[in-house]
Amino acid sequence: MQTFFRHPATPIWLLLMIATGLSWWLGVDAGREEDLNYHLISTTLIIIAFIKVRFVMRYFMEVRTAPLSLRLICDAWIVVVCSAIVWLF
Amino acid sequence: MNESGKAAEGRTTHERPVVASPSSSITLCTSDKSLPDECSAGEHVPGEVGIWVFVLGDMLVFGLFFTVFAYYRGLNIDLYLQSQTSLNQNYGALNTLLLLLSSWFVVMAVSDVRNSVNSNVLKKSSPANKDGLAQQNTSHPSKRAAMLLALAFLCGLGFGLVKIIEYTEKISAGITITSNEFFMYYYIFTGLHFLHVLIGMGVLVFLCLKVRAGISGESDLVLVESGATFWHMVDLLWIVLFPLLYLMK
Repeated sequence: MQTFFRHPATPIWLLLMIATGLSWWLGVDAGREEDLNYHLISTTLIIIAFIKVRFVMRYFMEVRTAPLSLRLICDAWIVVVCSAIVWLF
Repeated sequence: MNESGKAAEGRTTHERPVVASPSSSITLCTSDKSLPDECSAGEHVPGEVGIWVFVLGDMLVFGLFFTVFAYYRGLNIDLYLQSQTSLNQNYGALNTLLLLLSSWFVVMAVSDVRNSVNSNVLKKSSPANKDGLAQQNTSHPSKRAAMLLALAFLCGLGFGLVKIIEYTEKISAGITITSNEFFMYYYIFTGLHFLHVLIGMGVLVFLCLKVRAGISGESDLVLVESGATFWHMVDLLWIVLFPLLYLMK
């Protein structure tokens, strides 16, 4: 059991859970206040999501130890899709 | 104690013990400097190369879905915002947490299988083993890996149950795929994703049974890594779908 908590993916997983909680709060509770900048909140939500995606790719899918070409393809997907959503939004 | 024996004793699961390529033989890779130098390169593609072609293709398609959704949302933002209020954000968040938890179980299972394969290689290569002096492995990592994969499957099952409850509530309220443009995308995207979850759950069951029956070598490791890669992609797609459909204002 101890080896689970010493695994490098475990703190990343905790970070992902906290980030999900933060997104949830931003999207539900913070979104109820009328004087908030909704555009900023939504942009933040999307950026948090793609940061989470990068962590999943690098630490869960082990892309961080993959050849450069695969690392570049994954990062390109993140940058292109995230930019497209934020721009079109 | 010989060099291989020292490596086995000092190895922990958080190191990357194995570099496996789909077609090549296993290369040991630990922090132990006595082991082969090619480990310092440390690059490997987890699982079959074919699974990565499939995963990247799937991600490309979903990337286009996300972009199309963002484009049409911008054209009719009032309809999308009004429709979004019918969704239960708590279900979306709960499902995100379930998939993240399942992904963590899968990461730990892969780590266990890798260590099991590695310890088998070390045992075979150890001269002490030839004299019957090698330390017996008493932790049964393959059984633990099978249990972790079963837990990941249960998380997937939890995701499915929440999704069915959510769909039932929507349909009972008269909200279907034909209700409006937002719900058309909602049902198509979440439905396609749910299909991936179901396939992934089938893969997890297969891997669980395979690992429980015993890990024979590199081919089993590549199989587990391939299934894990697919399951993490399922998690990754939901991480984007959750804010896109449920949270964006």
